[in-house]
Amino acid sequence: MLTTRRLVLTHMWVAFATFSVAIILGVWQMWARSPLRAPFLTAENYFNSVTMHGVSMGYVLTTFFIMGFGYFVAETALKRPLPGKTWAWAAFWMGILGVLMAVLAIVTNNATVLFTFYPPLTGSPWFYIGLVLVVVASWIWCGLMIVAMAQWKRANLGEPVPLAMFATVANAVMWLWTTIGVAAELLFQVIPAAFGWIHTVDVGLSRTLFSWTLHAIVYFWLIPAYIAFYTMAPREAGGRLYSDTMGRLTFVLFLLYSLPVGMHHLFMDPEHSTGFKFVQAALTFLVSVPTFLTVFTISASMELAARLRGGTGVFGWIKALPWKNPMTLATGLAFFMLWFGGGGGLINMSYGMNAMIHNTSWVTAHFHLIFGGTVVIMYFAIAYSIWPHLTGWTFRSPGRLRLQLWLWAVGMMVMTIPWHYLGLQGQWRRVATFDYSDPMIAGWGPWVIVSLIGGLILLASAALFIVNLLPPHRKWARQPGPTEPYRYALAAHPPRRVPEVLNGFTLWNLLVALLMLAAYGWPILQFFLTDAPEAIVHRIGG
Amino acid sequence: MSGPEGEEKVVKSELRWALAAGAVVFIIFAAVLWAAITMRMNPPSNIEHADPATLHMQGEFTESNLGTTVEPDGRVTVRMVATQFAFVPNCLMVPQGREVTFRFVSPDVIHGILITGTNVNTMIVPGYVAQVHTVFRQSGDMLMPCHEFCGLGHSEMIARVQVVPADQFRPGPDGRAHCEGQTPLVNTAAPGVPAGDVDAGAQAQGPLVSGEPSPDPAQATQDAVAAAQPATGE
Ligand code: HEM
Ligand SMILES: [Cu+2]
Ligand SMILES: [Cu+2]
Repeated sequence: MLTTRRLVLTHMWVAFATFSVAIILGVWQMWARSPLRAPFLTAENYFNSVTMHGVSMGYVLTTFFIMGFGYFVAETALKRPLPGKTWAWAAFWMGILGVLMAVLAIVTNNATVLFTFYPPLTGSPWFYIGLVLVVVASWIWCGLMIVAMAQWKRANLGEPVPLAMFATVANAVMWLWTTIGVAAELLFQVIPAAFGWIHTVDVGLSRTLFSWTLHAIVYFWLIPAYIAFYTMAPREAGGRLYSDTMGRLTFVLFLLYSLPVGMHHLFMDPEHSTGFKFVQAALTFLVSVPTFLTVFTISASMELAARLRGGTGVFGWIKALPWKNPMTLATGLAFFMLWFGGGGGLINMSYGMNAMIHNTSWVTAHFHLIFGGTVVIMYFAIAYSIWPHLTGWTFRSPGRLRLQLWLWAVGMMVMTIPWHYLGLQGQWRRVATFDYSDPMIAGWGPWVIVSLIGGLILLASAALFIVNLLPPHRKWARQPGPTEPYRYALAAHPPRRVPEVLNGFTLWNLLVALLMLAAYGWPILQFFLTDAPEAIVHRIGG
Repeated sequence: MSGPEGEEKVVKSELRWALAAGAVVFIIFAAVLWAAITMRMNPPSNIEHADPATLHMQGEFTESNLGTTVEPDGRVTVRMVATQFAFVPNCLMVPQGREVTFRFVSPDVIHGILITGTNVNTMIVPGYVAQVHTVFRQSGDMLMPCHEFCGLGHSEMIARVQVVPADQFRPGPDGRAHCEGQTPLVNTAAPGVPAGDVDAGAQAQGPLVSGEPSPDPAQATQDAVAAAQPATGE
């Protein structure tokens, strides 16, 4: 049995319990925005709900899932016990404390600031301190991942770090870089403002610091899905990973290019020049390359698996894949959603075209499709794959797992297609209600109702997910779990040696530093050199 | 398994694919660059300051100077203040087919606007002037909502844009144009917007709305509508 079993399970349950509450809020929000009358609807309830939903999905589900999964990978991929388990538990409780503080601030109406908390609108300091605690907890996790890999390398001189762990550490390193921006914003601007120590704040600077974090955080959420694509799905489909080197390169490219691109969230902002916006737009295009590589490598790996199972033809092999296997099915569905979501993303990042969709429903639809769709469906698949190793029992009716995954993908498409369409029609985001008696808006109503139906399908899927994970109560209903250790996909040509640059992160950290200096150096420095007038802090609540 | 393909073949096919993907990305990027240069499709990026504490008391954004103005050289400029939870003025008249420059400021928190059916879109960040140029191709009424959360009254923060054919666009002798037969915008049944956001906000927005700063944001919207109501029938 795994020594990290309890640690991993506890993290996962915190993540999924939060997720189940948040999805109920999500459905209610869609109801509020539709022409149907939603109960409990006040402006305060709506924006508290969006704050809670965003914080839960964006910060709690993700961070706890990623930490738990990282501990699992560190033990199973490196085949040695996790170093510093006490630290891991300390980080866990710190994170829980942080979440409780933030939740308390929200439910007492003291943090109605949404999960992006743009100053000068400022909530209770305890909300932000709670978020800081979650971030610090994740930093401890990053440290543990880095140490685990370093210890393994010392014990296995010259050997390639297993890809799953290499990718996990890439994510940890990237996350350390990512959180610098928001940490600086919180510590030097937002928290002092929330305590009332300062009365004005440089909003241009705070938006820029937040943008430093805002794009890379999405890759932090995404990388576990990619780890599953590269190191879990090929084995579960009965094949091998097409290319281990491409996997390493992909994760390194994510580390490099997810950071110096955050200003694409500020295309519509007045505090930056077209020059730097354009530079970061160009870099944003580069970050789509590792995704293209992944689509190819994983499709090729799946083809390998299918041909081993007797599949033939140019596309005929697709039929030969073991679609009954939840991980294989989830990978297929995730790719399907990725095609749509990626296409939408190309529009978002297109500098000029962005003006058409900025802060419309298109944006919310887009990130629900990619993050809620592609990423979260892989979180489900990962849970299904590792659960038997954590609990010691196997799933008795895998049909229910497949049903849950199908419901999720279908619900996500039903919810996001009309949502995208409404964005193109000019429906704006982040409002509680629309005046459907206005003829300019009336036509949107039916489409929001379709989205609401999609949300209900997702809710059903989420409920089934939780039921699937619950331990079977009656003893006779249990089937003993696997006795052999968890296995990751082998590469078609397992690497005996990899170049040192693809086995560590020293060089890449240096390059990240240079890229960040080039992309963010002047845009941040300008706020200290030019004397932009500051905004007056607006505190909410009591 | 020695792999159905040799390692060399794997590397080659990966490289081929990487090149293809790179080419696709490059072509899309070239299109964006082309649009930026030839069609001037650039995001709003004039780094121009405006002090949130004083902008309503002096200079360009005092209340009497807001709205649509035809400058002496014939250019059409719209000046607008976005404030919790209203636009001042809350209705705009602009001509079809002529270049219009919008200039927005905020005395309080972050707001943002889009105009439905167009690609007019910008954030309004306190401390800066957000400027957008556009040409309206079609006439008719459009909505201009606030699209960034700015407090509890955010959902009710909407202005209207009336685009009229160029020959019906008749500014007064002072170069100002106002909405015709403007009816105060009836807001969405504001679902019980409770009090909140009244601290520095009320101070900053006080001079913009007539009368007492209302503790009820929905009410404040109505006040602002009344305050911004231009004298009709010139
Ligand atoms: C039943 C499924 C869901 C529904 C109906 C739903 C609905 C919504 C709605 C209506 C909003 C507010 C958007 C706005 O006001 O602009 C929202 C925001 C958000 N949702 Fe969901 N959601 C669902 C699932 C998810 C999932 C699975 C995730 C991620 C794992 C997610 C992440 C977020 C985030 C981060 C926000 C904050 C956006 C913002 O502040 O603008 N949602 N969601
Ligand atoms: Cu981004
Ligand atoms: Cu607003």
